[in-house]
Amino acid sequence: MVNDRDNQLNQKDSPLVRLRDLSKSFGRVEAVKSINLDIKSRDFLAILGPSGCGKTTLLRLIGGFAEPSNGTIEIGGNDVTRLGPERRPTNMVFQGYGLFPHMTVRENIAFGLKIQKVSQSEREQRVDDVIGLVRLEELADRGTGELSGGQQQRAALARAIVMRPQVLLLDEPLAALDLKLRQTMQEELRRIHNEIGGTFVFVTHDQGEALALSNRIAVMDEGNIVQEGGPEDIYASPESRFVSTFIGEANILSGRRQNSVVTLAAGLDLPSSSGPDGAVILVIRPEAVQILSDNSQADVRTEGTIVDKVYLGAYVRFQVQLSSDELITANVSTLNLPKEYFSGDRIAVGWGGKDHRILMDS
Amino acid sequence: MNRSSEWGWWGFGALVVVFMTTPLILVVLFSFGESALTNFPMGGITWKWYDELFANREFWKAFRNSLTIAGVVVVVSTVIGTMAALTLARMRPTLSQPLLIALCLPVMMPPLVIAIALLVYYVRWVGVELSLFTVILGHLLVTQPFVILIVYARMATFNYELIDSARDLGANSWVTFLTVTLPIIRSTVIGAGLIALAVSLDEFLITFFTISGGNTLPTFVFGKIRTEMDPTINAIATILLVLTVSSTIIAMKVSRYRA
Amino acid sequence: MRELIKSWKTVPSLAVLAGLFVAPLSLLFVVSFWSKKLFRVVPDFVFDGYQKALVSYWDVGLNTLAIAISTGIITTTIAFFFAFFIRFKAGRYGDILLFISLVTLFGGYLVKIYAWKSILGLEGILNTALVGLGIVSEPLGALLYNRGSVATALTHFLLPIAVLPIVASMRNIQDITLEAGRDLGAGPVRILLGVVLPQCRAGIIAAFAFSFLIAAGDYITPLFLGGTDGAMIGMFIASQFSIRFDWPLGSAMAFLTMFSCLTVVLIARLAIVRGRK
Repeated sequence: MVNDRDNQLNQKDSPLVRLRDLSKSFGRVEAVKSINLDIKSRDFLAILGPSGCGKTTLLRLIGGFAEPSNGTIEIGGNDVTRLGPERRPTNMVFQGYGLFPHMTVRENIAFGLKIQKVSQSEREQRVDDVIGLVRLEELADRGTGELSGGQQQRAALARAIVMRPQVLLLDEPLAALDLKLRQTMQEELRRIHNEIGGTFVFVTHDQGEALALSNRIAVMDEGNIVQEGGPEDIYASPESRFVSTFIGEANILSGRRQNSVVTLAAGLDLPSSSGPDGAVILVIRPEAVQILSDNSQADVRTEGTIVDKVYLGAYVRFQVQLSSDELITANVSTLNLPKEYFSGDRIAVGWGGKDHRILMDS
Repeated sequence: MNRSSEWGWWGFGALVVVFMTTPLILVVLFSFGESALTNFPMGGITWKWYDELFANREFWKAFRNSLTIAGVVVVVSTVIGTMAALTLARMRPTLSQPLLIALCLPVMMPPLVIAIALLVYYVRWVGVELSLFTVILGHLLVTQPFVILIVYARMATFNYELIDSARDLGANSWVTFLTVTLPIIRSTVIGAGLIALAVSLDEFLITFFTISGGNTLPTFVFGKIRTEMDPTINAIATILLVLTVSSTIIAMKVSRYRA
Repeated sequence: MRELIKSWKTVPSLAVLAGLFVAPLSLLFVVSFWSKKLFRVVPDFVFDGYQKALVSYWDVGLNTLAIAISTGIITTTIAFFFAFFIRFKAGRYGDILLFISLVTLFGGYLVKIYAWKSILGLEGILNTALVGLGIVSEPLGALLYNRGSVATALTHFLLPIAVLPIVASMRNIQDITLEAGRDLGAGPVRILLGVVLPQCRAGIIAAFAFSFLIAAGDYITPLFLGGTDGAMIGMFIASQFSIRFDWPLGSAMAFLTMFSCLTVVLIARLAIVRGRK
């Protein structure tokens, strides 16, 4: 997978970060298992997964806060595997922000530049620039304890960005913020990314956040990257049951494929589907499931009984029980409802042949 | 709980506090008393016992020795104790717990045993002359556990993300320690040093056995108590008490003590 | 291996421990097996020291243990109730009271002994008060120079040391466990012994261990306050090293004392841990 993409790239697009066979074990626990990943310059990559999948460990490996048990890390063409965080061209925004409590915001931001012995004039200029970038001008000379959560977030971000790292790492950057603030900060992060044109890698368990912020997503489960690609690819073309249910909602119907014909437990026969014989699942997103009136056409069509109906303003969520006793969820836009439906009604549901995916059942 | 039991508890509590503090308050009180006896009636209020004490050259020699020893002991034990505590705080518990207990053993044993062990050790095995230096070494042994415990306890609530941040921004271990760790735990370290000061000033047994000719304040007091019931003892006892208690109080205030 | 190198900062402290504690004590142990010939101490491997210690000083040893154990028990008991008072009854004054109690923790060893010597003496305050109030017609000589005076002074000295671990372990007791006890009908005694005490066993064991050990090894308190009745073994161990120079005897006594103390502490621990089931 990765190698194919490699061949397609020309030299100018060669990846900024290359992880090869990277793994990390703590005692007998394998937190990260043999990761191969390329990160291109100017990517905004999300490492997405449930808790315990190893995503934070992976981030810390890239940042130099943990030594890999195996494998190599290359950044900008240099092997940094054995380097500590002090010497890597990366900077991290920590989950708890890690702002030095005994310094003001400005002093925090200037800290790294002082260590690099940047001249005072240049240092002050860069610090002012980045304070402007994150819009903390008024609070720059306050102590960090006086800042709200969102402001601390921006201060920590500024402190990392001022160092001009080749890769900016963010550990669950928005987890501690409330909903409203989170949305504002998402916009801020996107704006800053566009303005400085850097490479960002962030870790999150929130799939909505991953979809909103990133241009590439790597989905992790139990130490492995199970799928990687752009947000549309991941959402529309999940490659496993795990990915399909982790990102967005998904209906999963079971079935069998034999000789390129898929037969579902729910009784549907489907247009030919290439692939090996065996147990398969059909994945269809709730927003793709339509309620069909008697004479409407659809590639795939079946009948069921409505067991639940919830009106959610913009759409109505129906739970329909099929002949296989499986439940399928349909989110139907309020404007597209042909008529009123009630619990207990028998209806026909269906979707286009391109709207579903057939995956091997693992 | 009803009223009478409340009173009962407060009465008991007050009694205990009185028990703990009265003997010392009496010593301080009588150091200012006109009468030579440590008893009522006191006579008038006077400084004369202090005058007599301050005129005594032996007192000043002892005082100087105490300060010299304490000065060296405080600096050394605070430095090495803090170093050890910081390292122990980041070790695996299976390794740090036994080391911690081992380092604190000297305080859990009768000082007499340590004193005689050191005496035999110095005289018979190492062959050094007894001197202030040998006393300093002995004090180090019993002050360092306090420093280690105090700093170790502080590190339990230390935000290690700050150290990661500093390293991430390019600081090596030494710079991180100076610019991040130390400023943050500064008050605890000072508190630990002050406790070491109190312990060293008050230390008697080990000093008694390992000092050659001179005196420290405690051995000076001991000598006086042994030879006669001299009213200046109240004065010098008060001075010793003031030094150690104020050191302890400042230490507790500075490190924002919580039991 | 790398972890060991990274922990080089513990080396100075460990060196102090090794060079000034482990080495001297081990060597002292070795010395306890030497023999004393006339005016010199000679390397040897005999049990003379231990023999002499047991034969001549067993009575003092027992006396010491008796005083130390009773002091330990009294101190721990008072400390327990006082800690309970501070933790549950004193409200916001609790912290201040604790502060006052602990202020003398690190200083004033000799001062305290001298204070008691003054207070309990024939011309001391207590006697003056007793005579003045008409309770006795003459000053009591019996206040001083006996086991009681030693125990009193030791208790006074040890209380802050005993209170500390018990208060620490009581802080972990949730108030609601006491309320639950009351809700279920337990009277105050039951709550104290059945709810509070079991939850702070660790603190009580520590309190007893510290008070007992320090009391057992104490030498100055009995020297000034004990007379013959309150003589404790510390005095005799010390004299072997200051006046008498029978080092094997002295170190044998020291190790025998430590061994018996350790035994007592272990027994106490078993008793407390098994006790209230």
